[in-house]
Amino acid sequence: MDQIAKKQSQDNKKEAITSFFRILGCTAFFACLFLYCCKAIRIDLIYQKFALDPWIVPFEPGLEFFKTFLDEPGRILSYIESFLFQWYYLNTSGSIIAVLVAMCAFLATYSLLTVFKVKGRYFLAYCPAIAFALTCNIYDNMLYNYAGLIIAVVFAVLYIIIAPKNRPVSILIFSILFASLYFMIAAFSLMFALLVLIYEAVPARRQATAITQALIACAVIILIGTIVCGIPIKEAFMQNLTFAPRPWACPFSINVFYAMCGLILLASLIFGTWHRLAPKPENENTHPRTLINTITAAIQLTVAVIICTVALFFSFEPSNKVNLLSKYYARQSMWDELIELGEKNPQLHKYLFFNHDHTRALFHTNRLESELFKYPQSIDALLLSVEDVQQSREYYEKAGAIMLELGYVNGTEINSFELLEGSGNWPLVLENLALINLAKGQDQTAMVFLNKLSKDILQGKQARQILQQIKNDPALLDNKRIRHLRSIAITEADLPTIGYDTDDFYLWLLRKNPKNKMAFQYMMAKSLLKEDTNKIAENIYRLDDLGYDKLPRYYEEALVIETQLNKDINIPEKWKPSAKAMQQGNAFLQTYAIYKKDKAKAMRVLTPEFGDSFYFYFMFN
Amino acid sequence: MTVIHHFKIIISVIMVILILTCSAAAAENNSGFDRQAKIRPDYTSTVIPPNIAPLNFTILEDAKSYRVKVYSQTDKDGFEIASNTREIKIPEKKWKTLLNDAAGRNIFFDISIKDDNGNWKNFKTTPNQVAPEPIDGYLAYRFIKPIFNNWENVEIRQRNIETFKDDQIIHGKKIGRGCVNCHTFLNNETQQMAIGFRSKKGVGTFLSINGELQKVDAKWGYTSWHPSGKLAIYSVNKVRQFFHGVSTEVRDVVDLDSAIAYYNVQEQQAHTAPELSDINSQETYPTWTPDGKWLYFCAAPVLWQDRDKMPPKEYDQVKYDLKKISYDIETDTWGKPETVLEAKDTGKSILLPRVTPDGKFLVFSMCDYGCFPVFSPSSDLYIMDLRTGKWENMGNQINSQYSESWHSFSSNGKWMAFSSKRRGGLFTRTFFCYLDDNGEPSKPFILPQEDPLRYDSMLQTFSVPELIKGPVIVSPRQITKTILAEEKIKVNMPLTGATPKVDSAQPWQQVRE
Repeated sequence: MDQIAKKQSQDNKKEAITSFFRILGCTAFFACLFLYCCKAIRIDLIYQKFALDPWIVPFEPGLEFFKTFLDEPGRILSYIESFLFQWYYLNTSGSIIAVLVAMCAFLATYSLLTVFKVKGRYFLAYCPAIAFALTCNIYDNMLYNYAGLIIAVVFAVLYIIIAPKNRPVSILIFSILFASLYFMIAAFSLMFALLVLIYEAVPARRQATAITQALIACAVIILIGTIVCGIPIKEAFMQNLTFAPRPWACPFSINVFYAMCGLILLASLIFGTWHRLAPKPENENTHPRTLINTITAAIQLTVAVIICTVALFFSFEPSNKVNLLSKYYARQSMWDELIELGEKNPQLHKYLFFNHDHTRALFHTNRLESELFKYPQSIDALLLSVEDVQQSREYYEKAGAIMLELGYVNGTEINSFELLEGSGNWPLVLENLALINLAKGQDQTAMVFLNKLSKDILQGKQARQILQQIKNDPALLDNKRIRHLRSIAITEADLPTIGYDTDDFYLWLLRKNPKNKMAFQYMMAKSLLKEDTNKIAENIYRLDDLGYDKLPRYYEEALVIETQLNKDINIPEKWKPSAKAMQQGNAFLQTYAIYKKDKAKAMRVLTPEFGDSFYFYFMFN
Repeated sequence: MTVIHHFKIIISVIMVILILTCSAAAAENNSGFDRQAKIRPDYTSTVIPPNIAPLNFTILEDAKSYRVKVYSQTDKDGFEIASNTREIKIPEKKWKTLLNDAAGRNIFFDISIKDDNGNWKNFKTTPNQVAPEPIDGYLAYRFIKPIFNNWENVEIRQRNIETFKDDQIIHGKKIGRGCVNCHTFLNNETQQMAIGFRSKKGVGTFLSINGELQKVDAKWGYTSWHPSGKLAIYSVNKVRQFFHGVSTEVRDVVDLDSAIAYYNVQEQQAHTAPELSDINSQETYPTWTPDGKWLYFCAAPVLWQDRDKMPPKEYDQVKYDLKKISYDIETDTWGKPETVLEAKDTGKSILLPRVTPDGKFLVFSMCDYGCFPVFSPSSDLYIMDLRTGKWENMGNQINSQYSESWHSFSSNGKWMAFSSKRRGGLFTRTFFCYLDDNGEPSKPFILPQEDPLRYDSMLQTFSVPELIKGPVIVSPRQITKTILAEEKIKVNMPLTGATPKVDSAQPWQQVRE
């Protein structure tokens, strides 16, 4: 007896050692994944990509919000996605969530493969986790799908553990679990049903039960989907068959996801069948073999790590990250970083929206009047006045932001409401709408948006602060941003309807506030880009209103050209181009005249000295 | 002696304690405020129906905890609510019992707060009057965010005014990202109703007539059922939306053209009359008198030659007159239009006429110009005594600096529901007021919500509030099914309301060709 107890104790010890190494390996794997998510991927960029997406509902705490997800099957999964996605806003919390999802996928699969007695399960269980990491690696959001898969697998494990041998009871348990799952996760409940059917039909050898359960699953879909929730019968079934991938999910992510579902089903089926058919060894040594098991686990982990590393390495596309970083910097008003990013990645300048953000960045860093022509320019990018993009969410967002900064609050209001209706109650939209209404003096309306925004766990802080400020100082005199917005916002009702990006548009803004620096600089930038040097000369007197003490470089160059073109031009004495500037201009024109017939050569010769000048743009644009 | 002496001492001590206690209590009672507590929504000195849901509110006073005693003239004990938060949620059962008994009398809120030192302080009593007449039990309304060009979620819902139950009548998503609007009921009943829709699946009007569900292949604009139920009259509008570069309300709407047509339920055909579709005039907002013998409507001359240009230069010059025309339903004959009130006399555009169920008054809205009062902050509600023709502004309690519009009456004519943007200028909310025999309105109150803070962060508006006696009996699924069905009643329209489907660049636009 003592010997048996001793042996048992030794076995337990060996098992504990094996488990310890497995847990250690597993911990190391997910710790590395966390660091990779944090440092290499930057999960917060996924938030930047999918913020404003109409398929994701911005999360709000409270029962009222939850209740809105009870109207159709599968909406609870949207609620879970909404909850998880909010944490992506911050890189650390987002990486924690991503790793937790990957870990849950690992644990759920591991448990399932354990109940199916799958060999090599330690390696296979890593596969869904790696697949999820891959989708993050290409900046795709598959929280919805993987959460659905995890829940389905967990329910399957639960069923296999609790289902008794008594058939009616196990059918009853299946019915309850499937009905709840169909309501919760709609499309993914089929995964649960298939796993249970495999279990019942193969290792449990209860084909009749499996068939009954399949029929019950169909009945539940008809009952809940069609009869209770009013979904057309075809749709209720089709949703399940197609797994309802989100329309924007990239094919790679969808295929990887399907492959994972297939792998789990296949492993369950094959090993279920193998266990059923394989004869049981008579003297099976069930004692744990510490060394072999530990080595096997180590090998499996190593293979998983290698596959993961290779897959992540080859699927990572740095340009995706750069594009999203530019979006992030623009939203966070990180202007220096945005300019630096553009310098390091010149290919970004071919994108209209990047050029637009870049011009904003130049303004905010006081470099618009001296460095505009250092970078590729497009007049369309200035205020995004291109019809092709004007129905896009990105347009609504960026046009709304620039209009607000310029003081055209009604323009921002239109764009923000298009986003609010089309995309949902995203914090950045709510913030804009609150600011617009504060600028317009409609504080009560602003407070509705602020109250809504203040419910956001991560982004509600500023709203809560403003609400507190309103309580203490209803006029918000101490809030610099609001004070500035109010000083530039055109809100007078006697103004006629104005067209965005017309000359009048800037004049209205400057009439409201002649010190509206951004309106002035954008108006001048537009004139420069249009090569309208006359307009520059006409408006140069405004430098006095704005407190300039020095004529900015590009205006001076434009005035040099204007004085060459129009001898009668009347420029205030204070703002006449300097003799040095005139000399420089003449030098440019003389060199240009030499190579006039060969423009390419003229460009080559003039680039080193004048490449970033207005002269160069004027002649070679 | 000693015993008596001791007894005297004991009595004296007890007396002293009692006096001290009483004076302490008196002091506590006296340590109150000489004003009413600030509460939101403002449920003070209003007239409320005896069947209204609990008037849950927030106390806008800083305190550690709150206490509200609710009682009436008939039940002075009432009941008490204690709360550690500002939100006061009144128990539904107790409220109902109290209110039923208080019909025609007053109810009171005694509000007290506990300060940081643990002392309770009372505010002056907040009274409200309970009218003897109930309000219709339900409110049908359009639930949407402030929409500009695009829409995603357009819903028509119904709220049980006696409780907080709120159900969907139809959701635009169910008919393919559609728009649903112009819900109209016959005599406040839901047996006969109409809902306009526009979606990928088509454009038309859903009808429910005594359980029979139909789809008419024509979009009805502003609609009014003839009291007999035999016909519905509606406007056909060439509506265009545009935006203001400046001003409080960004959106504006102009009818480039409009006319009035009517649909005969039995014939399943549409007609018009020359008096209702003058080419030089825009007719809109038709509404019947309760006897069905007169139709009130609004009309304005067409000021532009080009009926497509947007916005027309004279958009802010258009002002509608109020007109009426007689009608004989037996012979289907129309009289000659008469002008009831001219815009040139009022200086404003007269819109949205509705006659009270007793036929005594007509309530309408007036704004500076145009056809769409909801987007005009200048829009106010006015009342006209139809016996004398005298009209007047409904007063500062009904009207605010923002838009008031879209009114409807309860079937007994004692309650008016209307839309107001008084809470900031953007979000439309539903308010109710009591109308006495002289058409004098009481101070309005907002539709109560279970969560008294709900309006403070709600981004949807409550639009076109229509009071109805009971719930809509047709389920959302039945309505959806009817709209999506291929079957439809084809009508030979004298005017076509050819509305672009939602996929067009400007899906909200409605075109009369």
